[in-house]
Amino acid sequence: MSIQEIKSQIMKETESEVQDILNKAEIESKRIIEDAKKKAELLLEEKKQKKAKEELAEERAELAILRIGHKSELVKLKSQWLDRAFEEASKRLYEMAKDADSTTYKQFVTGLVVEGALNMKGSEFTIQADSDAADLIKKNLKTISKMISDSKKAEVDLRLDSNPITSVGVIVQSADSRQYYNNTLEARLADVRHRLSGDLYSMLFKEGE
Amino acid sequence: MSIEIEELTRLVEEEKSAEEKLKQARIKAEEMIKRARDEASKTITEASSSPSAQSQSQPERDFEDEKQRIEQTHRSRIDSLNKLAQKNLARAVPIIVKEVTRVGL
Repeated sequence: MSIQEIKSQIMKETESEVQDILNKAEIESKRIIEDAKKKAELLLEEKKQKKAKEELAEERAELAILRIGHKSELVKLKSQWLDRAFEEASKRLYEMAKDADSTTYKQFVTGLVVEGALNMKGSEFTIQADSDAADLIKKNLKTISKMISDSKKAEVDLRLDSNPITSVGVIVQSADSRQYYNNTLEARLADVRHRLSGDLYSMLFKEGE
Repeated sequence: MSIEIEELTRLVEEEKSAEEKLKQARIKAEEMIKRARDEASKTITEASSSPSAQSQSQPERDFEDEKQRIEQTHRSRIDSLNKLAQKNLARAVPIIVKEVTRVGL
C-alpha cells in the first residue's frame, strides 16, 4: 500500500468514526429528550388527577356544608314556629287571666292551688299568688282547703301569703319552705313545651288534613 | 530529507489531524448530549412547576347545577313547611292552652 493510499484510508476511517460518534450522540440526545417529555407528560397527568381529586373533595365538602346549613335552617324554622305557637297560646292565657270574674279563670286558679298542694307532702301550705289570683283564693280559701283535704283524706292548713308575686299563677310552698310547687303560667308553659314539643312539631308540620 | 521520510512525516501529521478531528467530534457529541440533558431538565422543571391543570368546565357546571338543585329543593321545603305551619298553628295553639290550663286534680 502506498503512503497516499494509507493517508486516504486514515481520512476515510476518521470520517466514519466521527460520523459514528455524532450519530450516537444524536440518538442519545433524542432519547434523553423523549424520556423527559414522557416524564413531563406523566407529571402533568398526575397533577391533573390530583387536582381533579382535590376539586371533587372540595365540592363534596361544599355540598355537605350546604346541607348542614339547610338542616340547621330547618331546625331554626321549626323552633321559630313552635315559639310562635307558644307566644300565641301565652297571649290567650294572659288574656284569660285578665278576666278575673270568668268561671274559667276561677276554676283555673282553684285548680292551680289544689294541684300544687296535692303534689306535695304535708298538711300545711302557704300560697303565693299574683294579686288577682290572691283575691280569688282569699275569697274561696275554705272551699279550696276542703277540696284539698278531701283529696288528701287529711285536714290541711292553707295560708295565703300577703305579698303578691309578679308572675301570673300561684306558688304553693310547704310550711317549712323546703318544698314548693311552681304553678305560674310561665312555669306551666315551660313544662308543656318540655313535654309536648315533639308532638307539637309533628302537628305543626303535619301534611294533609 | 529523503522523499520517504517526508512522506512518513506527512502521514504522522495526517494521523495527528485525524486524532484532532475525533477529539473535536467527541467534544461536539458531549455538548450535544449536554444540551439534550439541559433541555430535558427544563422540560421536567416546567412540568413540575406549572400550575395544576385547569378545571374541566363540564364537571364544574355539573357541580353548580347540583348546588342550585339542592338550594331550590331547600327553598321549596321551607315554603312548604311555612305553609303547613301557618295552617296548623290554629290547631296547635288551643292544644297548648288546653294543656297549660289542664290541672291535675
